[in-house]
Amino acid sequence: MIQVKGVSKKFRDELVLHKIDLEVKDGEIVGLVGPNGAGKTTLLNIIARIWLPSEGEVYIDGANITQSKDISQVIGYVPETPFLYPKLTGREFLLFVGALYRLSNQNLKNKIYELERALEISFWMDQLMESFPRGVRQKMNLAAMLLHSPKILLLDEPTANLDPKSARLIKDLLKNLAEKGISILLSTHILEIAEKLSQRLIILDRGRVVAEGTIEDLRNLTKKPDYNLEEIFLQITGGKAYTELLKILS
Amino acid sequence: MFFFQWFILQLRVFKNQIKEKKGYFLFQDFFHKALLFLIIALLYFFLISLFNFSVKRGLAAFDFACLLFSFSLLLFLPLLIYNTIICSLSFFFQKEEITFYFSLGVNPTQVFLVKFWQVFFHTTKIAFFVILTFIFSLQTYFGLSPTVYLSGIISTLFFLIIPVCLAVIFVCLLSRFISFVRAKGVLIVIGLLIGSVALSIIRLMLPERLITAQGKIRLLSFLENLHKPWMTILPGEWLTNILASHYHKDLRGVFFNLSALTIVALILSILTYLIAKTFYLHIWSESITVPQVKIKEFRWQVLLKFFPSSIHTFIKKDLLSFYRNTVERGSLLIFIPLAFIYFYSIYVLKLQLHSYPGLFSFSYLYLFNLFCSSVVVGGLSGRWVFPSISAETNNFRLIKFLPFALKGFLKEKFWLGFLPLLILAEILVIFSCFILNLRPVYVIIASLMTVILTLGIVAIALILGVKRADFSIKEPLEFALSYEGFLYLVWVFTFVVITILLFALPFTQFLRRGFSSSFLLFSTLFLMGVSSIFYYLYLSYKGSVLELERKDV
Repeated sequence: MIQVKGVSKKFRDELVLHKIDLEVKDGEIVGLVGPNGAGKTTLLNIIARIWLPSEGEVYIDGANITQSKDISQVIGYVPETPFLYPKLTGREFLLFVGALYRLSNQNLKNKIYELERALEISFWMDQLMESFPRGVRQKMNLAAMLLHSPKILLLDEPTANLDPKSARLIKDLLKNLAEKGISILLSTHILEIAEKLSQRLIILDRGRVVAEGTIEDLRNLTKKPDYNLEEIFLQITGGKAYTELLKILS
Repeated sequence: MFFFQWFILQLRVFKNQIKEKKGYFLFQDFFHKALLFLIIALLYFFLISLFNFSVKRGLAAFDFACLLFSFSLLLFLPLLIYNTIICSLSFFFQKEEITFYFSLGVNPTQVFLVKFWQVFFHTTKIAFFVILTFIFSLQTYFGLSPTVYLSGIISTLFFLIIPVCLAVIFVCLLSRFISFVRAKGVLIVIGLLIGSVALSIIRLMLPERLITAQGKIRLLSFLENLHKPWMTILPGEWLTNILASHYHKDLRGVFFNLSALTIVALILSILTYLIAKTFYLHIWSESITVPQVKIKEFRWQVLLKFFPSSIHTFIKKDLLSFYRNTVERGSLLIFIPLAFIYFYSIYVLKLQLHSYPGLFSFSYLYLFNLFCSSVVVGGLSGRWVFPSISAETNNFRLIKFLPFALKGFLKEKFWLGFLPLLILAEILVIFSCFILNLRPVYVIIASLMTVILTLGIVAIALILGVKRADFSIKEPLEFALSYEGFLYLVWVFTFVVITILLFALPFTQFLRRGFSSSFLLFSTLFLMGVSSIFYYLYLSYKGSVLELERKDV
């Protein structure tokens, strides 16, 4: 379970996250949506312990992440810009990450075999990573972060560069993982994915949580029972400006 | 039209960079700029001293100056062509930027022209300043008319277009047949090989003799003998003739040679344009698809035995990346001439000291030897260890995220830097001690001191590399040549001088006077001194690790 309590983040004098509170329960998929620069990636980086919050605390399964160094043993984090060692093959990359998770050699090899089949990346396993298309890099990073069977998955735009087939594959995989009890927090621009995949949604705007709940909760909030997520999102994050823009463009 | 728009855009980017980084911008490549300025200043004073020497000896000073200029241009030309080839292989095949231009519907030939001038600017700027220094020294010393600057600058620009066009034509034709990635790797290795041989030959020619009268006479007679009548067909000769015509106040000569340079430069430019028009789009489109390459397996298992087992994972990753990078692997070739030049210099020094007996003791030579080897190790560590943290770029977030990785990562960077550099330093120091016929006790002490010095140098490289880490760099060399690199060198130099003066020098004195009762006291002080330096380095290291943990990447 992820608990974020009053987290703020300042870069120089700019406040990019302002007192964020959120919770992701075991086996739950929570979608983090918001316009560009809303602070989604910053929040994921803080939960993954890559950045430290300027204020507030993050708990993973009840343990404060700033105090417990082993916390990354239970987290998997796939960033928007995938990690890439151009001169390593896909297999060497996975072996490198697996060894740092201290997985036993045989266990690691079995896990790699399972994942390369599940994510359909077998063809790329023995090619240098510099030759990977973006979608394959994304899948390779997801494979790396599933090696240690994490309890929590943080995904930043997981389907951004994928073809429709691969996007569907990832969606099914994530649903499957959630059923097994893994908590998933995913940030995305693609509202259709957020709507279909997430049990709960959090809308961030300019570093603040502006709305939170199931799609029904959000409809009630906007008092528009027939709205889809896209319409709700536009209304909450500046739909007025968007309507004006449409008028200008037409 | 596109060229001007692009040029204005570059000016805006430049302006924004200055605005963003303010005062720091001036120092960003401080070391690089300072080094260039120093070389140009040294060249100027060397030329003036050579002119003075010729005048004092009653030689035709201006004629010798022209011979030297012509010879330098002859040397410049292949170097410039090579440099342009390597640079073209990067600039003409940029993926994102050129895709963007094409997506805007810009004509490929227009894109080519922009890239051509970018390559021209990047590869010829140093050569331009060196030639200008030469013209400046001739004008000030021989009192040439100031109009020499106008014709000199114009003719230099036309002269520099010639090698750039030749190189670009070569690249266009070569990329038609070989993938540009492969071409770049092969050409860099060939260039390093030729460069290594050239460096060794220059060292064998004993350039230090140039400070003596005999050396200068040798150079002048060498230049005189080198000059052959057929050389008048070379563009470098035409440029020299323009300067000579100014000296003889022969305006027809200036006009004639400038016309020859202009015509050749124009013909080559048109030829380059036509070749680019035919080939450029095709070779660029082929270059953006990364070819499937055969993976080279590397038997690193043997090498792993030298390192602690806890860091084998990182070592494997770094060795594989290094081994598969043709440019990085090829740069190891430079060690061969480096070692040769080092030993040869020590050998020459020994011979020279034999000619001046009693000037200073041979036993002190090992201190000088220690200093020189530390400078070499410091330089290499600045090239590889110092930028190694920043070279992780975006991947550093992965290292930071993975459990227990940060400590192992730094430990690996230390060992991967320390062990090879220690081996190299020990080879340099011990072999040169044998060349100098020093007593075995000096060899042992020099060897021990080398361990301490290499340890300190690598520790400084890592501490500063962590403290000043910049994960936005594109090339490790860029970081090594920055202001940070300059700071690192200052620290290393200070550390080496202090360690040698405080510890190695008193040790030598004890050895010369024989062991006495105060030896125990000295040894204790020595150990305390070394311990306090390393304790300080250890604390700095711990501090910088904490800083790295807190750093937002």
